[in-house]
Amino acid sequence: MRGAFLRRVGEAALLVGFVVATCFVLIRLAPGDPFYGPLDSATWSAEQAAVQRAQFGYDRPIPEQFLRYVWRLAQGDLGWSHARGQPVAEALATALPATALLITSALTLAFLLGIALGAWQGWRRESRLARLTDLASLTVLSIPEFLLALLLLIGPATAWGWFPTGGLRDPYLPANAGVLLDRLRHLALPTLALALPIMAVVMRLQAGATTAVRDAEFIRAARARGLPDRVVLRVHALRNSLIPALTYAGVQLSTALGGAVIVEGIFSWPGMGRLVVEGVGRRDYPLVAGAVLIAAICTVLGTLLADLALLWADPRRRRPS
Amino acid sequence: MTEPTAVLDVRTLGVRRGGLALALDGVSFRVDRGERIGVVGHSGAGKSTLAGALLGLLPRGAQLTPQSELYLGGDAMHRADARRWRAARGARIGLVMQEPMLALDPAMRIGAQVAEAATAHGVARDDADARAIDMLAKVGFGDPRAAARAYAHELSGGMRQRALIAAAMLMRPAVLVADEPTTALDPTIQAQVLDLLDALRAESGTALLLISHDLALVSERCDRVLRLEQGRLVEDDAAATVLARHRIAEYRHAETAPPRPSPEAAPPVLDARDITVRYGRVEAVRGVSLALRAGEALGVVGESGSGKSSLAHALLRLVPIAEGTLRLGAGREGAEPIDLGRLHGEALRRARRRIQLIPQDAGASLTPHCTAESLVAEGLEVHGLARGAEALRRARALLDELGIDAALAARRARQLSTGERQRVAIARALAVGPEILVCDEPLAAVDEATRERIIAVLETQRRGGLALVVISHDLPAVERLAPRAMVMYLGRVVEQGASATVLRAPAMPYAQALVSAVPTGDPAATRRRIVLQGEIPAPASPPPGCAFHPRCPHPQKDERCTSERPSLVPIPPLESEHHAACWKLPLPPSR
Ligand SMILES: Nc1ncnc2c1ncn2[C@@H]1O[C@H](COP(=O)(O)OP(=O)(O)O)[C@@H](O)[C@H]1O
Ligand code: SF4
Ligand SMILES: [Mg+2]
Repeated sequence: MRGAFLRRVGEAALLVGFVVATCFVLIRLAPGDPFYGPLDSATWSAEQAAVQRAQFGYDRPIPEQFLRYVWRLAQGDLGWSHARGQPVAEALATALPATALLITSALTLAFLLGIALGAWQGWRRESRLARLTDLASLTVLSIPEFLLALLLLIGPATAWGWFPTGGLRDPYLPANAGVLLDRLRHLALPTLALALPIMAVVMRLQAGATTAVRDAEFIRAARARGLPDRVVLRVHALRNSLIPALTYAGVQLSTALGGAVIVEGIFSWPGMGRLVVEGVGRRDYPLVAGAVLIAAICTVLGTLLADLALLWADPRRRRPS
Repeated sequence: MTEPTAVLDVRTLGVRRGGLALALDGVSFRVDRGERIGVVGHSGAGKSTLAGALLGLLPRGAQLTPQSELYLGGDAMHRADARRWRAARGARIGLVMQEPMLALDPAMRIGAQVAEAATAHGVARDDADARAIDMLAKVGFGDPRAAARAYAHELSGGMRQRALIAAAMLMRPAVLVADEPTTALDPTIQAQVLDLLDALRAESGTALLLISHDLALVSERCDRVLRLEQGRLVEDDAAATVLARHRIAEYRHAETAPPRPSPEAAPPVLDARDITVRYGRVEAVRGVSLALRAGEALGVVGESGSGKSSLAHALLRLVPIAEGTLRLGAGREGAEPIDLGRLHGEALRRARRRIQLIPQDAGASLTPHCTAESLVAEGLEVHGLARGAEALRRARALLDELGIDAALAARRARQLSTGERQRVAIARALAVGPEILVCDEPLAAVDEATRERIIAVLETQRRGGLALVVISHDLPAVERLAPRAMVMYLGRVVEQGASATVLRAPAMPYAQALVSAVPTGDPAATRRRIVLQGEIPAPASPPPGCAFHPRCPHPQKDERCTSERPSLVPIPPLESEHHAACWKLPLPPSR
């Protein structure tokens, strides 16, 4: 058990290191650097740029730069963001909570609602309402994600004015006056845009698994003990049909950041997505490296969390104690 | 309404499952308090449909016909709504199902599942848990608290069925419906489980409806037997009467069978000596020897895990043989004797044509979307015996011999019944013209009619000169098919000789227990039965001395049993070639 755990941690560290190293090299191979970009060549003169490059060590061989980066990282220094003009750690510290809020609320919504609706739909496969929700999830799936986000922006936000079109909160609102409500209003549409496509997939996975399990012998046995239908569904059918959705959750916990980049752009959400786009555009090496590091750690934690959930759902996966 | 004594009164019960034909049609019978009633019939006769109807748990799309009446302790359940059914299920009528491997929720602890039967009927959680523990102790768990914390996959089939019986009997229902409760279990475990059901039933005054395809088993355990045929009740009589009627029909059938030829002392076609099979540290087969001549048959019996399948695989070199020699004799078409144990590559492939295996669950392993005839023809083509239309023609002819007509032969494997698929698997093995056929549980999970058919097919083949190794739990079938038999326990042969002796009056205690577990139809037999305690130990660490000693019921077992391993010794008269391994031989025959 202990050995397996240590191996797992080792693998995770290796993965994070590999991802960070790859991005570290790739962004340096792209044309331009923090002091000379194809888009903003006017900022620095050639001589000034050369001085700056030497000062930050960008003129040295890439392997040497990487070792230096790792050395400073080990001391807790993520470097200086050229684009934001502040330490990378600070830039990340303001953006990360916004994205974490968005992703957490979107995934929670998508999985809780998706599993509940999917289970119900799979259990009552033949009913008319189940067929309707089936159609609804299919419709959502067939709309490209960015289009869905734009539709939400145009409809409820711009045209009908129910929700704000962007940002994290209303800057003119006096402190403590309905701050929470305001937050929720700002959060609603980006969350929905991120959650809906995921929820549609979860629903379909869960519905299929529930239908597969509903005629199982142990379900019949539970009924024969006199359990009411809703208890049979909630207690026996649900837990034994969670595997596909939980596996998908593992995938989403690590890839939701990608979806967030699009949604954050469309709703001007001041999160990691926007930070990364900005960082890549400006060849802000340390910022990109820092963001990738965070993303890789999230991936690893997400997968671990999903694996633990799978162990909970299926005791057969546990080692004999 | 009904007379006060009937706990269950069924009147003109019918079930429609789509289509015109009824799955059950006009079934009427009544069950009194504490009565033991057997329900028999072929697969598809409507036994499980009846069980479903009695609990209001018909499969999706099936429903009661309007004429149906069903009274549970006087309550008209055919008019009951979901709520009343729910209150009755588990409290007044319980169900034990066929597949203990599938009937427990894999993600919930056993104790919680048993306790559910009480909480579902308003018992408080703590009280329910306590009752569940008591009940688990009652159904034979030595450490009920540990059992309550276990998950289904941590228990053997027999233990799972005990847990399910605990759940079904927790509320002491007036009626318990047991649908093939022991079909999926080993014969020795079967007897334990049936004894348990009977004891619980007697204690709580529950009436038992025991459903089985095995008339002998049912007659032993029940007072009355109902027989279903195509959804109709065709017999309802005292158990002894139904059994006697059946025996007469069977006797007529046996009389017409021609006598067996006695094989001459020709050299064996298969000669295996001291075969040992290892999977890592586990020794599944330990020094087993056997020899077969053309037209001979050998039966191999023993509980699951005794190494029967591993031996079968070793005979075909499908698993590596760790020790021992394996030789094929001079073949029919002048083939040379070969040392199968040493062959490799192409030579091994060619030799395998001479020895074929019908694996356990062979029917289930057929590619579902292939037609029966193409599956058989494929074997011919692989071995270069025929191709294209000719292969197909020969495949059809062979299938026809096995009672699969042209229409069935053109069906896809998934459209065939279990018994039909099993016969296709046999045809596939026979198609390449083997000299030796090894059958691993060819009769498991088939109904009576299919069983007869398969026995007849194998018997015909044997008379045609095929050497047979038959592995089966079905001792009476082994006796009919194979003049010789051997009993295996934890990888070793513990007794061997003529089937008439080994399978009827064996000498050593394990074989005696195995044989006494076979239902005979005689209720008195249940009293004489030797019911083994516990289950077969893990083969990774077999007990020292006589491997059977922890479970052995022999009154004189002693020090020597636990320290020294008995080897196979001949039992007089010597020409009978009867051998057994036990320190306490000879013993008086058990029956
Ligand atoms: N492929 C395998 N790997 C490891 N152990 C095996 C394998 N196949 C069978 N065994 C073990 O060998 C023993 C004998 O099994 P088997 O030959 O299947 O017995 P039977 O056919 O009598 O039920 C069992 O304990 C089983 O768990
Ligand atoms: S040797 Fe001893 S333990 Fe083994 S079967 Fe005989 S009496 Fe029982
Ligand atoms: Mg087997």
